[in-house]
Amino acid sequence: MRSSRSDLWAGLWAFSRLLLRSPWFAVGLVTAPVWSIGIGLTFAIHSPSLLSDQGSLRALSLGAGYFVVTSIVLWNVGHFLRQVREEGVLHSVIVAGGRVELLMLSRGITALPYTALAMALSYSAMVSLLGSSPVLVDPAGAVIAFLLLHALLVSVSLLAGSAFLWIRRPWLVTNLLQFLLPLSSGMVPIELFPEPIRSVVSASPVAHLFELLRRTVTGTESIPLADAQLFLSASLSVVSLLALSMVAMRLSTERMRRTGA
Amino acid sequence: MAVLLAFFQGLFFLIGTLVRREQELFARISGYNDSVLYQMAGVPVLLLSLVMVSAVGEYVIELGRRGALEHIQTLPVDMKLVMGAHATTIVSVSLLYYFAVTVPFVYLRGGPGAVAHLLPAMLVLALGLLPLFLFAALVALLTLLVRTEAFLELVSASVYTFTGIAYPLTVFPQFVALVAQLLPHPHVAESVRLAVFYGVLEPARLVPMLAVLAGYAVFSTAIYSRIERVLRRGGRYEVVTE
Repeated sequence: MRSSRSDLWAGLWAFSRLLLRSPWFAVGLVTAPVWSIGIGLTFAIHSPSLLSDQGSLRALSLGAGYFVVTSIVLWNVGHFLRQVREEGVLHSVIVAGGRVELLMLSRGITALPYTALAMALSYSAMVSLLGSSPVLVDPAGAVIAFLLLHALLVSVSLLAGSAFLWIRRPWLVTNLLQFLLPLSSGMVPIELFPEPIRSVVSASPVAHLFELLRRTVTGTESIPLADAQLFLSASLSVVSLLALSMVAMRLSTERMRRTGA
Repeated sequence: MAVLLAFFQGLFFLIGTLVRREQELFARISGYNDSVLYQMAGVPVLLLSLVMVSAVGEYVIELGRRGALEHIQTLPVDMKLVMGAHATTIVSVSLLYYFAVTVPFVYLRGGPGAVAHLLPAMLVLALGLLPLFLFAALVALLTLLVRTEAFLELVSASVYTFTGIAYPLTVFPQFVALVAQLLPHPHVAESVRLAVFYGVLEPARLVPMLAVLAGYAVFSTAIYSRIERVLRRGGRYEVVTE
Protein backbone atom coordinates (compact mmCIF):
# COMPACT_ATOMS: atom_id res chain seq x y z
CA MET A 1 0.00 0.00 0.00
CA ARG A 2 1.40 3.42 -0.96
CA SER A 3 1.46 6.18 1.62
CA SER A 4 -1.08 9.01 1.47
CA ARG A 5 1.68 11.57 1.41
CA SER A 6 3.44 10.07 -1.58
CA ASP A 7 0.11 9.87 -3.44
CA LEU A 8 -0.52 13.54 -2.77
CA TRP A 9 2.99 14.61 -3.84
CA ALA A 10 2.91 12.46 -6.95
CA GLY A 11 -0.41 14.01 -7.91
CA LEU A 12 0.76 17.56 -7.23
CA TRP A 13 3.91 17.07 -9.29
CA ALA A 14 2.20 15.39 -12.22
CA PHE A 15 -0.76 17.79 -12.42
CA SER A 16 1.44 20.90 -12.14
CA ARG A 17 3.45 19.72 -15.12
CA LEU A 18 0.35 18.76 -17.06
CA LEU A 19 -1.28 22.11 -16.38
CA LEU A 20 1.73 24.15 -17.45
CA ARG A 21 2.20 22.15 -20.63
CA SER A 22 -1.43 22.27 -21.67
CA PRO A 23 -2.50 24.92 -24.19
CA TRP A 24 -5.77 25.13 -22.23
CA PHE A 25 -3.96 26.86 -19.37
CA ALA A 26 -2.63 29.75 -21.45
CA VAL A 27 -5.79 30.05 -23.51
CA GLY A 28 -7.90 29.76 -20.36
CA LEU A 29 -6.16 32.76 -18.85
CA VAL A 30 -7.06 34.80 -21.92
CA THR A 31 -10.63 33.56 -22.20
CA ALA A 32 -11.40 33.90 -18.46
CA PRO A 33 -11.63 37.71 -18.52
CA VAL A 34 -13.40 37.65 -21.88
CA TRP A 35 -16.12 35.30 -20.60
CA SER A 36 -16.47 37.20 -17.34
CA ILE A 37 -17.00 40.51 -19.15
CA GLY A 38 -19.66 38.92 -21.38
CA ILE A 39 -21.52 37.13 -18.60
CA GLY A 40 -21.33 40.10 -16.25
CA LEU A 41 -22.71 42.49 -18.86
CA THR A 42 -25.49 40.08 -19.85
CA PHE A 43 -27.00 40.43 -16.38
CA ALA A 44 -25.97 44.01 -15.64
CA ILE A 45 -27.47 45.48 -18.77
CA HIS A 46 -30.97 45.43 -17.28
CA SER A 47 -29.72 48.00 -14.74
CA PRO A 48 -27.17 50.04 -16.68
CA SER A 49 -26.53 52.39 -13.72
CA LEU A 50 -24.51 49.51 -12.19
CA LEU A 51 -21.88 50.17 -14.83
CA SER A 52 -21.43 53.82 -13.90
CA ASP A 53 -21.27 53.29 -10.13
CA GLN A 54 -17.69 52.38 -9.14
CA GLY A 55 -18.59 50.13 -6.18
CA SER A 56 -21.32 48.26 -8.07
CA LEU A 57 -19.11 47.79 -11.11
CA ARG A 58 -16.33 46.30 -8.97
CA ALA A 59 -18.76 44.00 -7.15
CA LEU A 60 -20.29 42.92 -10.45
CA SER A 61 -16.85 42.27 -12.00
CA LEU A 62 -15.82 40.13 -9.06
CA GLY A 63 -19.10 38.22 -9.40
CA ALA A 64 -18.37 37.58 -13.06
CA GLY A 65 -14.90 36.34 -12.04
CA TYR A 66 -16.60 34.02 -9.57
CA PHE A 67 -18.58 32.49 -12.43
CA VAL A 68 -15.40 31.91 -14.45
CA VAL A 69 -13.55 30.33 -11.52
CA THR A 70 -16.51 28.04 -10.79
CA SER A 71 -16.51 26.96 -14.40
CA ILE A 72 -12.75 26.28 -14.43
CA VAL A 73 -12.85 24.15 -11.27
CA LEU A 74 -15.92 22.19 -12.33
CA TRP A 75 -14.46 21.31 -15.73
CA ASN A 76 -10.88 20.74 -14.57
CA VAL A 77 -11.49 18.89 -11.34
CA GLY A 78 -15.07 17.63 -11.59
CA HIS A 79 -14.56 15.92 -14.94
CA PHE A 80 -11.09 14.64 -14.21
CA LEU A 81 -12.13 11.43 -12.46
CA ARG A 82 -14.26 10.35 -15.40
CA GLN A 83 -11.48 11.31 -17.81
CA VAL A 84 -8.86 9.17 -16.02
CA ARG A 85 -11.33 6.30 -15.87
CA GLU A 86 -11.86 6.49 -19.64
CA GLU A 87 -8.10 6.56 -20.16
CA GLY A 88 -7.68 3.47 -17.97
CA VAL A 89 -5.48 5.32 -15.46
CA LEU A 90 -8.01 5.05 -12.65
CA HIS A 91 -8.00 1.28 -12.91
CA SER A 92 -4.21 1.22 -12.48
CA VAL A 93 -4.38 3.58 -9.50
CA ILE A 94 -7.01 1.44 -7.76
CA VAL A 95 -5.17 -1.82 -8.51
CA ALA A 96 -1.92 -0.32 -7.14
CA GLY A 97 -3.73 0.56 -3.91
CA GLY A 98 -3.56 4.32 -4.53
CA ARG A 99 -5.91 6.74 -2.76
CA VAL A 100 -8.14 8.19 -5.47
CA GLU A 101 -9.51 10.94 -3.23
CA LEU A 102 -5.98 12.22 -2.59
CA LEU A 103 -5.21 12.11 -6.27
CA MET A 104 -8.30 14.19 -6.93
CA LEU A 105 -7.50 16.53 -4.08
CA SER A 106 -4.06 17.16 -5.57
CA ARG A 107 -5.77 17.95 -8.86
CA GLY A 108 -7.85 20.52 -7.00
CA ILE A 109 -4.80 22.02 -5.28
CA THR A 110 -2.86 22.38 -8.53
CA ALA A 111 -5.80 24.24 -10.04
CA LEU A 112 -5.38 26.97 -7.39
CA PRO A 113 -2.81 29.15 -9.22
CA TYR A 114 -4.97 28.86 -12.35
CA THR A 115 -8.16 29.99 -10.59
CA ALA A 116 -6.37 32.75 -8.66
CA LEU A 117 -4.88 34.15 -11.86
CA ALA A 118 -8.18 33.79 -13.72
CA MET A 119 -10.06 35.60 -10.95
CA ALA A 120 -7.51 38.42 -10.75
CA LEU A 121 -7.44 38.87 -14.53
CA SER A 122 -11.22 38.72 -14.88
CA TYR A 123 -11.83 41.27 -12.16
CA SER A 124 -9.14 43.69 -13.32
CA ALA A 125 -9.96 43.41 -17.01
CA MET A 126 -13.69 43.99 -16.61
CA VAL A 127 -13.30 46.90 -14.22
CA SER A 128 -10.65 48.53 -16.41
CA LEU A 129 -12.45 48.00 -19.72
CA LEU A 130 -15.60 49.61 -18.35
CA GLY A 131 -13.76 52.72 -17.25
CA SER A 132 -12.90 52.20 -13.59
CA SER A 133 -9.88 50.89 -11.67
CA PRO A 134 -9.61 47.69 -9.65
CA VAL A 135 -9.10 47.94 -5.89
CA LEU A 136 -8.01 45.44 -3.23
CA VAL A 137 -9.20 46.69 0.13
CA ASP A 138 -7.85 43.93 2.39
CA PRO A 139 -5.18 41.79 0.64
CA ALA A 140 -4.66 39.30 3.47
CA GLY A 141 -8.41 38.85 3.98
CA ALA A 142 -8.90 38.46 0.24
CA VAL A 143 -6.28 35.68 0.08
CA ILE A 144 -7.99 33.79 2.92
CA ALA A 145 -11.44 34.30 1.40
CA PHE A 146 -10.23 33.14 -2.01
CA LEU A 147 -8.57 30.04 -0.53
CA LEU A 148 -11.87 29.19 1.18
CA LEU A 149 -13.80 29.80 -2.03
CA HIS A 150 -11.42 27.60 -4.01
CA ALA A 151 -11.67 24.83 -1.39
CA LEU A 152 -15.45 25.01 -1.56
CA LEU A 153 -15.48 24.82 -5.35
CA VAL A 154 -13.06 21.88 -5.27
CA SER A 155 -15.35 20.12 -2.77
CA VAL A 156 -18.39 20.70 -4.96
CA SER A 157 -16.41 19.46 -7.98
CA LEU A 158 -15.30 16.32 -6.15
CA LEU A 159 -18.88 15.63 -5.14
CA ALA A 160 -20.03 16.21 -8.70
CA GLY A 161 -17.06 14.16 -9.99
CA SER A 162 -18.15 11.17 -7.91
CA ALA A 163 -21.61 11.43 -9.42
CA PHE A 164 -20.24 11.99 -12.95
CA LEU A 165 -18.90 8.42 -12.94
CA TRP A 166 -22.43 7.10 -12.89
CA ILE A 167 -24.42 9.52 -15.06
CA ARG A 168 -24.66 9.60 -18.83
CA ARG A 169 -24.29 13.28 -19.65
CA PRO A 170 -22.03 14.91 -17.07
CA TRP A 171 -21.31 17.87 -19.35
CA LEU A 172 -24.96 18.82 -19.17
CA VAL A 173 -24.91 18.87 -15.37
CA THR A 174 -21.69 20.87 -15.37
CA ASN A 175 -23.15 23.45 -17.71
CA LEU A 176 -26.15 23.90 -15.45
CA LEU A 177 -24.12 23.88 -12.24
CA GLN A 178 -21.59 26.45 -13.42
CA PHE A 179 -24.42 28.99 -13.74
CA LEU A 180 -26.70 27.92 -10.91
CA LEU A 181 -24.04 27.83 -8.19
CA PRO A 182 -22.71 31.39 -8.65
CA LEU A 183 -26.13 32.83 -9.45
CA SER A 184 -27.63 31.42 -6.26
CA SER A 185 -24.80 32.76 -4.15
CA GLY A 186 -24.47 36.41 -5.03
CA MET A 187 -22.76 36.55 -8.41
CA VAL A 188 -25.31 39.17 -9.53
CA PRO A 189 -25.56 41.88 -6.83
CA ILE A 190 -28.52 40.83 -4.67
CA GLU A 191 -29.73 44.45 -4.36
CA LEU A 192 -31.18 43.98 -7.84
CA PHE A 193 -33.52 41.19 -6.75
CA PRO A 194 -36.86 41.41 -4.94
CA GLU A 195 -36.93 40.86 -1.17
CA PRO A 196 -37.85 37.13 -1.06
CA ILE A 197 -34.95 36.16 -3.32
CA ARG A 198 -32.64 38.47 -1.41
CA SER A 199 -33.53 36.70 1.85
CA VAL A 200 -32.91 33.24 0.38
CA VAL A 201 -29.53 34.21 -1.06
CA SER A 202 -28.54 35.97 2.17
CA ALA A 203 -29.12 32.75 4.11
CA SER A 204 -26.92 30.61 1.85
CA PRO A 205 -23.53 29.70 3.37
CA VAL A 206 -22.02 29.68 -0.13
CA ALA A 207 -23.21 33.27 -0.57
CA HIS A 208 -21.51 34.11 2.75
CA LEU A 209 -18.24 32.87 1.31
CA PHE A 210 -18.51 35.01 -1.78
CA GLU A 211 -19.67 37.96 0.29
CA LEU A 212 -16.50 37.59 2.36
CA LEU A 213 -14.40 37.76 -0.80
CA ARG A 214 -16.37 40.72 -2.14
CA ARG A 215 -15.94 42.68 1.09
CA THR A 216 -12.21 42.04 1.30
CA VAL A 217 -11.61 42.88 -2.36
CA THR A 218 -14.02 45.72 -3.12
CA GLY A 219 -15.14 46.91 0.31
CA THR A 220 -18.84 46.71 -0.68
CA GLU A 221 -21.39 44.92 1.51
CA SER A 222 -24.53 43.12 0.35
CA ILE A 223 -25.40 40.75 3.20
CA PRO A 224 -26.08 42.31 6.63
CA LEU A 225 -23.75 40.07 8.65
CA ALA A 226 -20.57 40.85 10.61
CA ASP A 227 -17.22 39.71 9.15
CA ALA A 228 -16.71 37.18 11.97
CA GLN A 229 -20.13 35.61 11.35
CA LEU A 230 -19.45 35.40 7.63
CA PHE A 231 -16.06 33.83 8.23
CA LEU A 232 -17.47 31.26 10.64
CA SER A 233 -20.33 30.32 8.34
CA ALA A 234 -18.02 30.14 5.31
CA SER A 235 -15.39 28.02 7.12
CA LEU A 236 -17.99 25.60 8.45
CA SER A 237 -19.52 25.10 5.02
CA VAL A 238 -16.09 24.52 3.44
CA VAL A 239 -15.02 21.97 6.09
CA SER A 240 -18.30 20.06 5.97
CA LEU A 241 -18.44 20.01 2.16
CA LEU A 242 -14.81 18.91 1.91
CA ALA A 243 -15.43 16.06 4.36
CA LEU A 244 -18.56 15.08 2.47
CA SER A 245 -16.75 15.09 -0.86
CA MET A 246 -13.95 12.91 0.51
CA VAL A 247 -16.52 10.38 1.73
CA ALA A 248 -18.35 10.49 -1.62
CA MET A 249 -15.08 9.94 -3.47
CA ARG A 250 -14.22 7.01 -1.19
CA LEU A 251 -17.63 5.42 -1.70
CA SER A 252 -17.41 5.86 -5.46
CA THR A 253 -13.98 4.25 -5.53
CA GLU A 254 -15.19 1.36 -3.39
CA ARG A 255 -18.14 0.85 -5.70
CA MET A 256 -15.83 0.83 -8.72
CA ARG A 257 -13.52 -1.66 -7.02
CA ARG A 258 -16.46 -3.89 -6.17
CA THR A 259 -18.26 -3.72 -9.49
CA GLY A 260 -15.18 -3.41 -11.70
CA ALA A 261 -16.86 -0.48 -13.49
CA MET B 1 -27.84 20.33 -26.64
CA ALA B 2 -31.35 21.68 -27.30
CA VAL B 3 -32.12 21.28 -23.58
CA LEU B 4 -29.06 23.26 -22.69
CA LEU B 5 -29.86 26.07 -25.11
CA ALA B 6 -33.42 26.28 -23.81
CA PHE B 7 -32.02 26.37 -20.27
CA PHE B 8 -29.80 29.35 -21.09
CA GLN B 9 -32.62 31.18 -22.79
CA GLY B 10 -34.90 30.47 -19.81
CA LEU B 11 -32.23 31.52 -17.34
CA PHE B 12 -31.63 34.84 -19.10
CA PHE B 13 -35.38 35.41 -19.22
CA LEU B 14 -35.80 34.63 -15.53
CA ILE B 15 -32.94 36.87 -14.42
CA GLY B 16 -34.10 39.69 -16.71
CA THR B 17 -37.64 39.44 -15.37
CA LEU B 18 -36.62 39.28 -11.73
CA VAL B 19 -33.97 41.98 -11.46
CA ARG B 20 -34.66 45.67 -11.03
CA ARG B 21 -34.79 47.11 -14.55
CA GLU B 22 -33.91 50.62 -15.67
CA GLN B 23 -35.69 50.67 -19.02
CA GLU B 24 -35.26 54.38 -19.74
CA LEU B 25 -31.55 54.19 -19.27
CA PHE B 26 -31.43 51.01 -21.32
CA ALA B 27 -33.41 52.68 -24.12
CA ARG B 28 -30.90 55.53 -24.14
CA ILE B 29 -27.93 53.21 -24.73
CA SER B 30 -29.59 50.63 -26.97
CA GLY B 31 -32.48 52.31 -28.79
CA TYR B 32 -34.89 49.60 -27.57
CA ASN B 33 -37.42 49.97 -24.78
CA ASP B 34 -37.36 46.47 -23.31
CA SER B 35 -34.10 44.87 -22.17
CA VAL B 36 -35.67 41.42 -21.68
CA LEU B 37 -37.24 41.26 -25.15
CA TYR B 38 -33.97 42.64 -26.51
CA GLN B 39 -32.16 39.59 -25.11
CA MET B 40 -34.88 37.09 -25.98
CA ALA B 41 -34.74 38.12 -29.66
CA GLY B 42 -30.96 38.23 -29.94
CA VAL B 43 -29.54 35.66 -27.54
CA PRO B 44 -30.69 32.58 -29.55
CA VAL B 45 -28.67 33.91 -32.49
CA LEU B 46 -25.67 34.11 -30.20
CA LEU B 47 -26.21 30.63 -28.78
CA LEU B 48 -26.67 29.18 -32.26
CA SER B 49 -23.47 30.79 -33.39
CA LEU B 50 -21.57 29.37 -30.39
CA VAL B 51 -22.98 25.91 -31.04
CA MET B 52 -21.95 26.18 -34.69
CA VAL B 53 -18.40 27.19 -33.78
CA SER B 54 -17.92 24.35 -31.31
CA ALA B 55 -19.89 21.70 -33.24
CA VAL B 56 -18.30 22.34 -36.64
CA GLY B 57 -14.87 22.65 -35.01
CA GLU B 58 -15.15 19.43 -33.04
CA TYR B 59 -16.64 17.64 -36.03
CA VAL B 60 -13.68 18.59 -38.22
CA ILE B 61 -11.20 17.72 -35.45
CA GLU B 62 -12.84 14.33 -34.97
CA LEU B 63 -12.73 13.65 -38.70
CA GLY B 64 -9.05 14.61 -38.65
CA ARG B 65 -8.34 12.22 -35.76
CA ARG B 66 -9.92 9.34 -37.64
CA GLY B 67 -8.09 10.21 -40.86
CA ALA B 68 -11.43 10.85 -42.59
CA LEU B 69 -10.51 14.38 -43.69
CA GLU B 70 -7.75 13.06 -45.92
CA HIS B 71 -10.12 10.47 -47.26
CA ILE B 72 -12.73 13.10 -48.12
CA GLN B 73 -10.10 15.13 -49.94
CA THR B 74 -9.43 12.24 -52.29
CA LEU B 75 -13.11 11.71 -53.18
CA PRO B 76 -14.33 12.96 -56.57
CA VAL B 77 -16.88 15.24 -54.87
CA ASP B 78 -16.91 19.01 -55.07
CA MET B 79 -16.09 20.35 -51.59
CA LYS B 80 -18.55 23.20 -52.13
CA LEU B 81 -21.26 20.56 -52.40
CA VAL B 82 -20.17 18.98 -49.11
CA MET B 83 -20.16 22.39 -47.42
CA GLY B 84 -23.56 23.23 -48.93
CA ALA B 85 -25.08 20.01 -47.60
CA HIS B 86 -23.74 20.68 -44.12
CA ALA B 87 -24.86 24.31 -44.22
CA THR B 88 -28.39 23.43 -45.32
CA THR B 89 -28.83 20.92 -42.50
CA ILE B 90 -27.42 23.23 -39.86
CA VAL B 91 -29.43 26.24 -41.03
CA SER B 92 -32.71 24.27 -41.11
CA VAL B 93 -32.20 22.80 -37.64
CA SER B 94 -31.15 26.19 -36.28
CA LEU B 95 -34.26 27.89 -37.66
CA LEU B 96 -36.46 25.27 -36.04
CA TYR B 97 -34.61 25.74 -32.78
CA TYR B 98 -34.92 29.53 -32.94
CA PHE B 99 -38.65 29.31 -33.49
CA ALA B 100 -39.30 26.70 -30.78
CA VAL B 101 -37.24 28.43 -28.12
CA THR B 102 -38.10 32.04 -28.90
CA VAL B 103 -41.89 31.77 -29.24
CA PRO B 104 -42.76 31.22 -25.54
CA PHE B 105 -40.47 33.95 -24.24
CA VAL B 106 -41.37 36.47 -26.92
CA TYR B 107 -45.05 35.74 -26.25
CA LEU B 108 -44.63 36.22 -22.50
CA ARG B 109 -42.78 39.47 -23.00
CA GLY B 110 -44.24 41.03 -26.13
CA GLY B 111 -47.63 39.32 -26.53
CA PRO B 112 -49.11 37.81 -29.73
CA GLY B 113 -48.06 40.84 -31.80
CA ALA B 114 -44.40 40.16 -31.16
CA VAL B 115 -44.88 36.45 -31.95
CA ALA B 116 -46.31 37.42 -35.35
CA HIS B 117 -43.10 39.36 -35.95
CA LEU B 118 -41.12 36.14 -35.69
CA LEU B 119 -41.89 35.26 -39.30
CA PRO B 120 -39.90 38.15 -40.81
CA ALA B 121 -37.31 37.56 -38.09
CA MET B 122 -36.85 34.00 -39.27
CA LEU B 123 -36.52 35.09 -42.88
CA VAL B 124 -33.70 37.39 -41.89
CA LEU B 125 -32.17 34.67 -39.76
CA ALA B 126 -32.27 32.15 -42.61
CA LEU B 127 -30.10 34.55 -44.56
CA GLY B 128 -27.93 35.50 -41.61
CA LEU B 129 -27.12 31.96 -40.55
CA LEU B 130 -25.12 31.33 -43.72
CA PRO B 131 -22.29 33.74 -42.89
CA LEU B 132 -22.40 32.44 -39.32
CA PHE B 133 -21.88 28.92 -40.68
CA LEU B 134 -19.05 30.12 -42.93
CA PHE B 135 -17.50 31.80 -39.90
CA ALA B 136 -17.70 28.51 -37.98
CA ALA B 137 -16.14 26.59 -40.89
CA LEU B 138 -13.31 29.11 -41.05
CA VAL B 139 -12.69 28.77 -37.33
CA ALA B 140 -12.63 24.97 -37.71
CA LEU B 141 -9.93 25.20 -40.37
CA LEU B 142 -7.93 27.65 -38.30
CA THR B 143 -8.18 25.22 -35.39
CA LEU B 144 -6.59 22.54 -37.56
CA LEU B 145 -3.88 25.01 -38.45
CA VAL B 146 -3.03 25.93 -34.85
CA ARG B 147 -3.59 22.31 -33.75
CA THR B 148 -5.27 23.02 -30.44
CA GLU B 149 -8.93 22.68 -29.58
CA ALA B 150 -8.51 25.47 -27.04
CA PHE B 151 -8.65 27.87 -29.99
CA LEU B 152 -12.38 27.12 -30.29
CA GLU B 153 -12.84 28.27 -26.70
CA LEU B 154 -11.02 31.52 -27.44
CA VAL B 155 -13.25 32.23 -30.44
CA SER B 156 -16.43 31.31 -28.55
CA ALA B 157 -15.56 33.63 -25.67
CA SER B 158 -14.78 36.49 -28.05
CA VAL B 159 -17.99 35.97 -30.03
CA TYR B 160 -20.07 35.89 -26.86
CA THR B 161 -18.56 38.98 -25.36
CA PHE B 162 -17.61 41.29 -28.18
CA THR B 163 -20.44 40.95 -30.69
CA GLY B 164 -22.96 42.89 -28.66
CA ILE B 165 -25.81 40.44 -28.98
CA ALA B 166 -26.81 40.05 -25.33
CA TYR B 167 -26.22 43.76 -24.70
CA PRO B 168 -25.53 46.81 -26.89
CA LEU B 169 -21.98 47.43 -28.03
CA THR B 170 -22.27 51.01 -26.80
CA VAL B 171 -21.20 49.83 -23.31
CA PHE B 172 -17.69 49.28 -24.68
CA PRO B 173 -15.05 51.79 -25.66
CA GLN B 174 -15.45 52.85 -29.29
CA PHE B 175 -12.56 50.79 -30.69
CA VAL B 176 -14.09 47.55 -29.38
CA ALA B 177 -17.41 48.41 -31.02
CA LEU B 178 -15.64 49.20 -34.30
CA VAL B 179 -13.74 45.89 -34.35
CA ALA B 180 -16.94 43.98 -33.49
CA GLN B 181 -18.67 45.48 -36.54
CA LEU B 182 -16.24 43.57 -38.76
CA LEU B 183 -17.89 40.30 -37.74
CA PRO B 184 -21.24 39.21 -39.17
CA HIS B 185 -22.81 38.47 -35.77
CA PRO B 186 -23.87 41.96 -34.67
CA HIS B 187 -25.48 42.65 -38.05
CA VAL B 188 -27.43 39.39 -38.07
CA ALA B 189 -28.63 39.83 -34.47
CA GLU B 190 -29.57 43.46 -34.99
CA SER B 191 -31.65 42.66 -38.08
CA VAL B 192 -33.43 39.81 -36.28
CA ARG B 193 -34.08 42.08 -33.31
CA LEU B 194 -35.47 44.86 -35.50
CA ALA B 195 -37.87 42.37 -37.05
CA VAL B 196 -38.99 41.05 -33.64
CA PHE B 197 -39.56 44.55 -32.24
CA TYR B 198 -41.11 46.25 -35.25
CA GLY B 199 -42.13 43.41 -37.56
CA VAL B 200 -40.91 45.14 -40.69
CA LEU B 201 -37.77 44.61 -42.62
CA GLU B 202 -36.58 48.17 -42.90
CA PRO B 203 -34.78 48.59 -46.25
CA ALA B 204 -32.47 51.14 -44.67
CA ARG B 205 -31.27 48.46 -42.23
CA LEU B 206 -31.66 45.40 -44.44
CA VAL B 207 -29.63 46.62 -47.42
CA PRO B 208 -26.46 47.33 -45.42
CA MET B 209 -26.88 43.98 -43.70
CA LEU B 210 -27.19 42.17 -47.02
CA ALA B 211 -24.10 43.98 -48.27
CA VAL B 212 -22.14 42.98 -45.17
CA LEU B 213 -23.33 39.37 -45.41
CA ALA B 214 -22.47 39.13 -49.11
CA GLY B 215 -19.07 40.69 -48.48
CA TYR B 216 -18.47 38.33 -45.64
CA ALA B 217 -19.44 35.33 -47.75
CA VAL B 218 -16.98 36.31 -50.51
CA PHE B 219 -14.21 37.09 -48.04
CA SER B 220 -14.62 33.93 -45.99
CA THR B 221 -14.84 31.70 -49.07
CA ALA B 222 -11.57 33.15 -50.35
CA ILE B 223 -9.86 32.75 -46.96
CA TYR B 224 -11.34 29.27 -46.58
CA SER B 225 -9.86 28.09 -49.89
CA ARG B 226 -6.50 29.57 -49.02
CA ILE B 227 -6.28 27.97 -45.58
CA GLU B 228 -7.58 24.69 -46.91
CA ARG B 229 -4.79 24.67 -49.51
CA VAL B 230 -2.18 25.40 -46.85
CA LEU B 231 -3.52 22.52 -44.74
CA ARG B 232 -3.56 20.08 -47.64
CA ARG B 233 -0.13 20.99 -49.03
CA GLY B 234 1.47 20.99 -45.59
CA GLY B 235 0.04 17.56 -44.76
CA ARG B 236 -1.73 19.18 -41.79
CA TYR B 237 -4.82 17.03 -42.17
CA GLU B 238 -2.72 14.15 -40.86
CA VAL B 239 -1.68 15.97 -37.70
CA VAL B 240 -3.83 15.26 -34.67
CA THR B 241 -5.37 18.31 -33.02
CA GLU B 242 -5.10 18.18 -29.21
